[in-house]
Amino acid sequence: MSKAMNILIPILIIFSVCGTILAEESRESRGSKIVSRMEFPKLKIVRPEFEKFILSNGLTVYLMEDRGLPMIKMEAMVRTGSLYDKEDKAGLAGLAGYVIKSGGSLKDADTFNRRLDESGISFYAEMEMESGTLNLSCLKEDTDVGLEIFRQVLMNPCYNQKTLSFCKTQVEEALKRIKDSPNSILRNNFRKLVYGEFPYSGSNLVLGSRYNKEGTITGINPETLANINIDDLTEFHKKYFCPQNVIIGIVGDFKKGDMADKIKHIFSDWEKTVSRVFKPLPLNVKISANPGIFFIPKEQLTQSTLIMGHICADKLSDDYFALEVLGEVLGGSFGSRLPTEIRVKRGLAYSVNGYLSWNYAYHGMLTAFAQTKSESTAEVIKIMVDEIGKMKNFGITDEELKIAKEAISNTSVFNFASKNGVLQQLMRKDYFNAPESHSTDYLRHIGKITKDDVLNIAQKYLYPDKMTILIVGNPETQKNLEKEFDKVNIIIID
Amino acid sequence: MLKKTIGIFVIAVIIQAVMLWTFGIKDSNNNRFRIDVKECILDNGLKILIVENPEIPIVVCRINYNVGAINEKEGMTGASHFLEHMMFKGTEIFGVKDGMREKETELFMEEDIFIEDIREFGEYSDPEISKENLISIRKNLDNAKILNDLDNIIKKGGGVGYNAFTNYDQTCYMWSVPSNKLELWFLVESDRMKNLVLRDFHTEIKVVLEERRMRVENSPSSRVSSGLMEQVLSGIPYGRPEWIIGSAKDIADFKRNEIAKYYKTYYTPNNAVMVLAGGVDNNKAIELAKKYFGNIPRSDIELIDNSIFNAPIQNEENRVIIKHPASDAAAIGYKTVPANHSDATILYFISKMLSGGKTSPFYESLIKTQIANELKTYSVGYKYAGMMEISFSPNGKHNIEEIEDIIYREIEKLKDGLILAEEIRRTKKQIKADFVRGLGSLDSLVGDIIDYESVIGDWRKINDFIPAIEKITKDDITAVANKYFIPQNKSMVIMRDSRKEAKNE
Repeated sequence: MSKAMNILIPILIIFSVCGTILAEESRESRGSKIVSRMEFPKLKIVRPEFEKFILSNGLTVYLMEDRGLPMIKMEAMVRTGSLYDKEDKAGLAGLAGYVIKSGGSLKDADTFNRRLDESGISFYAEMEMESGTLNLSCLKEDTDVGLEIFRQVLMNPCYNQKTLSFCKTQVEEALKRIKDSPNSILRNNFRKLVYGEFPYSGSNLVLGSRYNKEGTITGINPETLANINIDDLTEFHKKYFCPQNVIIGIVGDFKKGDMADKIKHIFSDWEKTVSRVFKPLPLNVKISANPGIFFIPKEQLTQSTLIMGHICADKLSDDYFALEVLGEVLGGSFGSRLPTEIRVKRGLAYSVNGYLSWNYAYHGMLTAFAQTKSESTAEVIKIMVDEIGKMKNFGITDEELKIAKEAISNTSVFNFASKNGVLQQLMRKDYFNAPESHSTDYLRHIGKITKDDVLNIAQKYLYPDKMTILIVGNPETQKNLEKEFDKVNIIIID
Repeated sequence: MLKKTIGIFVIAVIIQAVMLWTFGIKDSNNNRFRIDVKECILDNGLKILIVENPEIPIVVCRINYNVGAINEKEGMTGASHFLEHMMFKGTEIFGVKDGMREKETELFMEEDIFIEDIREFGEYSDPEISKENLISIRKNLDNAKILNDLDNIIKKGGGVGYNAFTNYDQTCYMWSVPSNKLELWFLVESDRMKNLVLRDFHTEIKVVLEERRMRVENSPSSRVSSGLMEQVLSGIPYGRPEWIIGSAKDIADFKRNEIAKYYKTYYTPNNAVMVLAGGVDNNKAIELAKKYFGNIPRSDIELIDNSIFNAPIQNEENRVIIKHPASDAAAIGYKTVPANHSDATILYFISKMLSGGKTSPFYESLIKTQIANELKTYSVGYKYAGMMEISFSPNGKHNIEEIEDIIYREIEKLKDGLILAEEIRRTKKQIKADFVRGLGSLDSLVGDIIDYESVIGDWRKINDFIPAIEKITKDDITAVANKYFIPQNKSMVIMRDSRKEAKNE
């Protein structure tokens, strides 16, 4: 009896909040009846074979054959990241990635770039917050050139000043351009406000265009950029680029045995160094370093771009599974609550979403984003805060739980959509030392999640009244916001 | 091939580049740059193209309609893109409670009368009564519909990347399914082709106006690139100032019956092509296509009058200056040829040779020297027109004119035949490697097949691409450069930072 009452009370409350939704759910469409009668064959998944070995110097290697196209892809994951930067050299890891990508870790960048272009090789390097990756792809006929470039970049650094100066100027120019678009203004200021503390507060700078990304520099700080010199890069490389700190994965048109021989030959004289464990500084801020409403005025805008959120859970806790479901219901895709309330029902935005992000070494964030015409800025903010509040107080419905769980489990086959993707997952599992519950047992855990789990997790992690809300809009919008909200903090950037 | 496109959903779950395992590529070494596609055309004209690979447990699916902004008449700009949005609002069997469909149509008609009234008089003619009535109609509509029905059915079925895009020539719908759920895709897409219901019509107008604010009004980069289209292709539909998304006025004035007519005209089997790639069996897919699409009647499609693409003769270069609170930027454009023209491959080659990689002339002379911060060269190919676009922004101390001079200097070199054999060899290799990389992603492969089919006219031409690239000589490049890179084809858009001027005053 008491159990039944427990179930009943939350349902009644939700009913009063969003009565129309529940009433509609009581009846189905003809289409959904047809779909539920459809019989689908059993899904066959072939797990691609791979080979893993560790060289005596500690280098981990994954190999996977993919003979369909005359192409080779290689990736190296390096145990590093901008989380381990020193405060007076913030941005070092990020800049190092860009310098490496530009050929700056070799004596002569021109020779490096000529070799890439002559063989049509694509090469990319990026140091993110908690990992570093290098990627190279080439035609099969250029396998040896590709491997040689990989070897040089990883094992034989000789950073050159010319490329470092070039990269710094490019970064400075990109920093100036942040003010051009509302999106990049948000991206550059939001983490700073929420995390408030180094190294978590550093912003990410995207270089190049969407179709031709030159790099993303994480943890960049305009004030410390000048402090970074060539010796820092050399030191950085020495510290992190050692064989026991690197995982290499190669997939493509080769015979495993032949490739294994080549790899052993190329990398066996890479000298092992003393193993060190890197730990980031602790994060002292709990929910947000700067809760409240912040407004950045920018001339000539007809639309406000806004983001809100706060610090959330660590990925490796077992709360992850319920949070995954919560994120899906809140704003993960079409049909989720935020798009439904703001776009579908009210037509107040084209672009609107909400996410819960995860990391391995530090806390992720809850973020909700929208773009709406200047006049409806306050209305959209209120709806979003309200939706996050409803989620915290009432959790989700049975129907939402069912949809989210089915969506998560049925789309998981996309993890096997490509051999390259499978190999990357294996490497990441290894790199982050992810527990089985987060990989092979993932779907079983998702399947067990109940509505109560989601409600508990929402109450534990959502703080709609302590969020940081950041808006970029035209100067007149400021007055409207000041009428609607108690305190609006103004940030001037121009 | 690069085209400007806009879509339904900017925040869609982006499909990870899906790699092929062994797929339908012929296995002898000579044929490794060819793709093998199975083709079938139903009696009603629907074309089905399939790339089989039983090893992949998913299928990437797209259906493309040959309709886009160039088909729109005056007063209806943006209709193709708006209809694309409406395609996500359900059909006669999705999105409405079983049995409520007829009631819904009545309510739509009542709603439209009120909306017309508001549009005409600016407000309710009898404020109290009418407003109450409209609210009650909408309440009844809400009661009939099932919110997010189609989205949730697709989500539950494991569908990924449910999205679409519209450009000048085409409207394309895409989502991928686990390979055992292909029938779900056929059910949904066939129903959207025959039974669309224009639900949430007036709310979606607001959404598209928000999209317009985002893409057009508040985006400095699209001001430059769209401004360039307007100049280079002026006088023909590709250069219209309303772009793909349409004018705010036309969008706000859309009527349900007009969009319904547009849908009936263009969303027919003989105006569509579907491409399926991955874990799909050819015979089974054709069986499903017949079952779900076979009974949809073909219709007469209004043929486009080709004369509207005859661009007026330009006597000298066009030059436009925009002031905007963003960093200085500019773009140079040359009018070229449609995507199916034999010079299009050479123009693409030239764009890659000029700015592909870090040893290309534009990179060496502008980026490496840090005169420009960014520079992109694209050869853009549409069904009835084309252009070469070079866009850039200067670094701190440098200016647009300085960059312009260097660009012309490099173009003059091409015209004078000052091209090294090494540059040609390098570009051929880069294009070949990029082509194979593209084949390695199911999404990009399916996208290419759709583009070749709808813009160039035949997917088979993909297999002519690498041989055509291999054949390009120095003389071809010089001839094409002299033919197209002339003042009568040239336009330029310059965006000056209005903040600088404000400070100087």
